[in-house]
Amino acid sequence: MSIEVNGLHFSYGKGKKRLTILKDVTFSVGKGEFVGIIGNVGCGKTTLIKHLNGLLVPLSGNVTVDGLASSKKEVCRKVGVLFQQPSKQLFCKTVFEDIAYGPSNFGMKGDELEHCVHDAIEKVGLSSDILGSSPFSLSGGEMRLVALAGVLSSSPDYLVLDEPTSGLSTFYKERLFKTLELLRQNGVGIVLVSHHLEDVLGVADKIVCLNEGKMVFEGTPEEYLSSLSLPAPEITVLMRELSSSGLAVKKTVFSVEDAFNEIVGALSKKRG
Amino acid sequence: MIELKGVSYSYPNGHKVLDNIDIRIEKGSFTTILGDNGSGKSTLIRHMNGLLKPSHGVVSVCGVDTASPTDIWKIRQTVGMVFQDPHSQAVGATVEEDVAFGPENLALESDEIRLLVTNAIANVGLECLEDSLLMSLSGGQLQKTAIAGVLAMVPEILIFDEVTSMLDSDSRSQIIDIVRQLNKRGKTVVYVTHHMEEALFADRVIVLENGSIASDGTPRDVFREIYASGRKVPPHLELAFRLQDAGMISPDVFPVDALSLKEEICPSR
Repeated sequence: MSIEVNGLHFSYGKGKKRLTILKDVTFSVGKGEFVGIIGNVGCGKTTLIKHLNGLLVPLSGNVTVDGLASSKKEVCRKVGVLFQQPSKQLFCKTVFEDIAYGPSNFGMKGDELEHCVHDAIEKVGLSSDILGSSPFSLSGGEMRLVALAGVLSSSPDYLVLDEPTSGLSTFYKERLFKTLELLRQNGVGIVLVSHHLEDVLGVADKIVCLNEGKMVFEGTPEEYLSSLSLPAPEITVLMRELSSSGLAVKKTVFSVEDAFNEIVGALSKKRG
Repeated sequence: MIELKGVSYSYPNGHKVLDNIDIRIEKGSFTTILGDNGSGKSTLIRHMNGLLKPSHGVVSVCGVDTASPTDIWKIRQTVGMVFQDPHSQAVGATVEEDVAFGPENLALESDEIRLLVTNAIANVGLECLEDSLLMSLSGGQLQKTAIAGVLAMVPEILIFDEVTSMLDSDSRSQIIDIVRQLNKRGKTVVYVTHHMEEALFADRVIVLENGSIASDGTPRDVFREIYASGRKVPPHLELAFRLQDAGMISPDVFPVDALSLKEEICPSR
């Protein structure tokens, strides 16, 4: 059971005006797997994720979800997508109605619906006190988490998040990642699209890196950090610099904890 | 330049967003405002150009009360504001048209408009894209256009509200460089951000918490305070503080980026 992307090509326009966005992209996302998609703005990340739940259909190649072609109606329920601008995903008068919109369209009502909405708001770490408020009266971070609760209320098997941390403070960011970890433990396959490397490297099982629509890397975070041709987190850059200055530290470190231990060890040895 | 005295603000439903804020922004300074979502940052800066009026207290810009209805246009010209989403600020079809929108509305002579537009576009480094359609630009280029649009009004004070939050790291560093250059050339800057590393270059950092000022000081003092309270600071700074506390590097340094920290740990010969 997985999302399979095989030889995906996509372009906008025709003839001379054709603008190719994705070129031969191939990767998979298993149940309970966390895949991070990295790349600068304009590299095709958003176009790629629109293919994962059938919002876009490949011009060539194919995308399947648990064996179904992504254009099948059932795929919409299997793959939940949280877009970058939460305000575009919220449209009801109250937070409750917004979160309930998906499951009620799938026929859920009464106590079951009530329970589902409360469960979703709890999953994202927000208080149920805001259920009666307008989603547009909330702060940017709260709006994003409400939009996520709206996606989770339909219990997707896969969750795709497009730059979910942009505009989120550290407090809400930590809360979001706790929620994602719980979902992953419950077998949800997660695709996180981000240009914040540290966000992705610490949590993903697999990294896919896009550059101008082409996949330039697929592998583990460790393998990603070993490649000198790819953009690296600040701490990794520091460790590489220290290593080339002669300090015996590991170069693929990106967390503060590991960097601290490496540097203290190397400096203590050096200073005797 | 800007002075807030005992400023409180509540929404019509009674929800208090700002509580008794006192801030004085000096001419030529670079002030960064940090705070969690919902801490009142955006509400605070919307008081600084009269977009919002305080429920209690007084806000003045260059000595003029923002509550004065006759002076509000002068205040809005003095204080330019750039917002988070560059798409929502675009009004023209091309870069040049978009930047010219403000000065055209001031009914200036066309030669003067041209000069203002050319200067503003040069200030953000978009000379080669002057005739480009806005719809063909990247997020970073659009945000630079928005900044140029504000600069064309020649404001003395610039307020940036999370202008990099939708941009990738390359565009972010370019925008920060532009803001720093503008400050060096004499503009007073108030910069709101979630990205703590963007606050390291400011003269002063103000942290808002639940509508009140939780910290106010130099980046060095404020970040030490944040770190001491167990909250997150930029990774290289957290590493620097831990190395200082372990006696591995001098307690006096405040590295603004990873490469300056490298020099402290292992100086180049």
